[in-house]
Amino acid sequence: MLKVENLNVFYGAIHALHDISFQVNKGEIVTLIGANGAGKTTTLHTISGLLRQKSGVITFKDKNLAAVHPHKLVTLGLSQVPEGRRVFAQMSVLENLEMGAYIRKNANEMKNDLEMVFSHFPRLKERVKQLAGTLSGGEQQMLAMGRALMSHPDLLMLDEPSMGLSPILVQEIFSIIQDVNKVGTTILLVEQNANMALSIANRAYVLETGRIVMEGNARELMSNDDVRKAYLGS
Amino acid sequence: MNKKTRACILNLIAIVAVYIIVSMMISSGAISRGDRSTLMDIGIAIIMAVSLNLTTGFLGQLALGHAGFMAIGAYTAALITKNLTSVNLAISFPLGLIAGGLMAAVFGIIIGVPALRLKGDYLAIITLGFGEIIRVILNNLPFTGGAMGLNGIKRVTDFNYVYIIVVLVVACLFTLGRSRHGRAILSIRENEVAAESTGIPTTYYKVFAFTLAAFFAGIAGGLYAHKMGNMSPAIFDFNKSIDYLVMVVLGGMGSITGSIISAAVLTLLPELLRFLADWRMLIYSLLLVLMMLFRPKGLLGTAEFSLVAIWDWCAEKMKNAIKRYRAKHPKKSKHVTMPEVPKYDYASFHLPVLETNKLGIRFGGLQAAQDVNIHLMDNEIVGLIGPNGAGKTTVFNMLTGVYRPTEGDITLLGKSIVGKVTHDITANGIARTFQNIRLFKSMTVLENIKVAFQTRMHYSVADGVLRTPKYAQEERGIDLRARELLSVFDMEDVADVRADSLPYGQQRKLEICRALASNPKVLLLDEPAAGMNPIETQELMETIKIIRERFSVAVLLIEHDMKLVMGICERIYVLSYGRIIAEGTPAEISRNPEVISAYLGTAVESEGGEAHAEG
Amino acid sequence: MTLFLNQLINGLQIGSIYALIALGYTMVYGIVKLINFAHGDIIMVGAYAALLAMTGLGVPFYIAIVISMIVCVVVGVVIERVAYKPLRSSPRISSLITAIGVSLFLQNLAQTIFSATPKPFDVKISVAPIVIGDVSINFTTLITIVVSLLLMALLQFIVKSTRTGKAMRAVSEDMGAAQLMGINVNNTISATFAIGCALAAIGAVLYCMAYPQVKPTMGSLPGLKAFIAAVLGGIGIIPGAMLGGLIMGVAESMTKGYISSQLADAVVYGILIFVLLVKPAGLLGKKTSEKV
Repeated sequence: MLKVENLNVFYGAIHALHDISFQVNKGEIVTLIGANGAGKTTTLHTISGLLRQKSGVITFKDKNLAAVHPHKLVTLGLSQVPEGRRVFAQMSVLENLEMGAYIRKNANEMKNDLEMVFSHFPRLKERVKQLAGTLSGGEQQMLAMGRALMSHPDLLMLDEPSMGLSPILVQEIFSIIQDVNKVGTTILLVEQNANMALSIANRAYVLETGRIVMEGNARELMSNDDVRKAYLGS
Repeated sequence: MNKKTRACILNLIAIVAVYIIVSMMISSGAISRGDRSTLMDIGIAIIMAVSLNLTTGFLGQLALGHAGFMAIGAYTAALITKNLTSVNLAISFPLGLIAGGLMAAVFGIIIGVPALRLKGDYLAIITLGFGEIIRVILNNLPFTGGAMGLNGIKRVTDFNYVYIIVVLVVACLFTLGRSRHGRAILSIRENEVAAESTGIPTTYYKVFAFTLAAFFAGIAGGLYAHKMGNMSPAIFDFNKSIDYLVMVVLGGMGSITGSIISAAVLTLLPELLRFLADWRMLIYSLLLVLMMLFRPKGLLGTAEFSLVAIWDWCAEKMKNAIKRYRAKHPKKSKHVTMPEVPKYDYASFHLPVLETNKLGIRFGGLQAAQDVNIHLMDNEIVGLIGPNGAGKTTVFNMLTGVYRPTEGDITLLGKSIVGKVTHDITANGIARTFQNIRLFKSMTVLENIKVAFQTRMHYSVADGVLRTPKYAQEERGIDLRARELLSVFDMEDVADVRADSLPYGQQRKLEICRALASNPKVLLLDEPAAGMNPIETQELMETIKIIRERFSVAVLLIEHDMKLVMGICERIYVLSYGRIIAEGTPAEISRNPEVISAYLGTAVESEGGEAHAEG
Repeated sequence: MTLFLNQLINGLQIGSIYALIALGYTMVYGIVKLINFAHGDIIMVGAYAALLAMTGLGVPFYIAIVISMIVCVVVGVVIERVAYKPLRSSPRISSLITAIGVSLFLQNLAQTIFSATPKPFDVKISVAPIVIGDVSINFTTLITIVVSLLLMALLQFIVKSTRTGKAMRAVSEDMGAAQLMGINVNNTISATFAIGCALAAIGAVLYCMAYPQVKPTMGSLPGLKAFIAAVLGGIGIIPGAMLGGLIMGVAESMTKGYISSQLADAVVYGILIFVLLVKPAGLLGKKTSEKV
């Protein structure tokens, strides 16, 4: 579904991504793991058009993304939950969700989607009128995910959903990610919490200083000694 | 004679030489009367621009009423020379200049104290308001000549006065900038919250810088009045303030040489464009827009005008000149004295270092924390964990005086600290780090540490500007101590790089290091492992242990990474909905059913402490 | 009492005009955090456009307003695209200086084209004033107040309830996130400038009906005052701009009537300073303290 080939990205003179290639197939949960500064967020930003690659091709559903303006990506079925949640703090929960469905105009469909989001995140339903800024960190993460789902994406990209959340919330968020995947949304998950990410993913890529150094079945990587040492802390 | 001293003498010679040459050209008639007037205009503009740069560039506070201070100085000085007719002008004029500066400074304090509580655009608007009010008042006072203005001021400003004052003002700003006071002012621009919590009395320094800028503007006003011979309040309007702001921004915010150059260029430009006649202002405004579009950070460094290369060269020369000038240390005393840090007498101290009693805070209707009783014994590492939004950071904010608790008490070494301001609490022994790193980003690693030594330095502004032995001694001591501290963290080799160019893990470390520089008894760490991978976290664990040993501090730690918390804490408090729901050893906490259901979740049981949330 | 009522009505009239202009400031500030100093000069552009349309093309008054709106919108959007957009990621002070440059440019351009000599702006509206007791209310005054209130209500509706309005709010909070939602950030910002400029054009015509003179620098003062009105009410907040404008207008007019016209400005600035010191985010502004 998403295919990244030989991607090279520079920040000024810094070569941030070296020949990155990976792909995400329909129905999968794929995770990119790696340390801070390894290039995970850079990769996502390049896919979503906030950064431009020096060379390399990104295709989504066989369409080259180089020619697509960033705000058009959603219409193609590619949606992203940004790092740090970035909900619209001064807008209500409902308005946030409406913004997620900005590209869609059919009111009936939107109603169904709202129900779908609320079924994943019952807590949001209790707080539809509340301003998003007054939600707790975990609820904001749920809202950010709900907002992204409102556009009916085929591929959902999540950037560090576990950041700053308590263990119990991380477990909850990750089990929701699995649920979302089960109902048919493909997931690309960028995570530092390798433990959790590998436990729900089908396949994984390990990024180190802008290069993919390892890839494979998530279960296998989890039992790989090097991975265990470097990312799982045991 | 070493290189520095030689350069310093060379530059002094340059300053004197320029003076002599220009003076000679003036007396020989090589510089016409009109050019002389332009030269003086440039000098006055330089004083205005560099002083505004102190507020806007160095302190980072946008001010739009600088012309108001100029007006106060101009009127004060003019009224003094006009009314002191019995005194020789050679006395009454300098007197008037100083009085003008002082009067402007007084207004600087009057305006600064309330206005500087505001930030950003609001500060800009309120200073704009004050500037305009000054003008309207001058229009309506009985002794200022009203809207008609003041005439018959003796035109005694000449090149000598302007040149000497410009040199003094610029030198003063350069030396100030490299003293502890300059660092304090810069740290406020970089991150006000962090500055306050590293022990900088931010309000004091904001008002100080603002007032000093007003003082210089007042002097410039006096020069202006005695150059023109007549003036009306309308001259000192909002547009005048904007003119100077444009100079500062075009020259580069926080660059004194930049301000000097752009003040000169922008004063000359309308003259140079005179041949364009009616198109002059149109071209000028167009140039302004284009310069901003192509050089958003200021004029310096452009290669678009052939002049610029020369300007650049001059700027570099000037910078080096002043740098070397400043390096003229009151020599060879290898003997370093640091003011002794008061030692707490722990032997007689069996009470906790830090203790809270029924601490609580309410925001409007929301009870964010309630009945929080925690204590830290000397040298203890204690964890504070809990779900998101439970109020952990709120507790930190109360401990450091960022929030004032509405209930309960906090005692540090037996004394209550409730109601004290943050920088005071820091000086008394509590230091902290922040969840989202707050470094002084564009300052070097070493400077970041030096800012935090503020609480242990004592030399005055005058010491700093005049480079007294006291200044040199303390600065040298601080430099050694700061490098020593960095070496504990293996960071001595990055001492001179910008803080924001460090990798993430090092930035975290630097923040901890900076907190230690203020010599705390209690160190509060807010999610130090956030964003770290297991290896970095492991290192952090070791670092915290080392800190405890070497700096004999008690550590209170907020963290979601259970491995870290369980690994190094002697005791743990669990906070949920603003209340402490459990306290105990790591083993007790990880078995506590209430904690499991509110915070840890099932993973701890099944995976034996594997769960960690980082990010 | 008559004096009081007359001054009150005058104040409401000029205050409504300030409010209309302030709306433009507030919307632009809300979305790109820029104090658009050139906004005052858009008033001047609007005034000249309306004047030329009437004298040059001979069109009737109401068509002249439409032409003036179109001209202002085009000028405003072009300024945004050419001068402000490239600086969106630069330090904010750079955009501020650019705005000042644009303002100077517009003034000097007008001066080059039309000369500095003021031109009369004659609009005869032959509707008799409404007389209540000793007080007579001009038709122009009435129109000014009513039009302003209606426009504010309309704008409030657009921002709160329409799709574009919500997109504006989303962009003003977080451009990046808004883009991820599929919102075209550039177009949304242009739309904001367009609305602000259209309102300024209406404000310009109403201003000229109160002070029938057109000159290159005419926009500076009402521009500055409108901006202060926006800050007074709480910048970024639509009803705040209205409230701030009316307070400014009435305070100014009352000072002129009862104290001295020279001190009117001082009183206005005094109120601004007082309000900011007591309520730093403006009258209707919400306190946003930095999260530590």
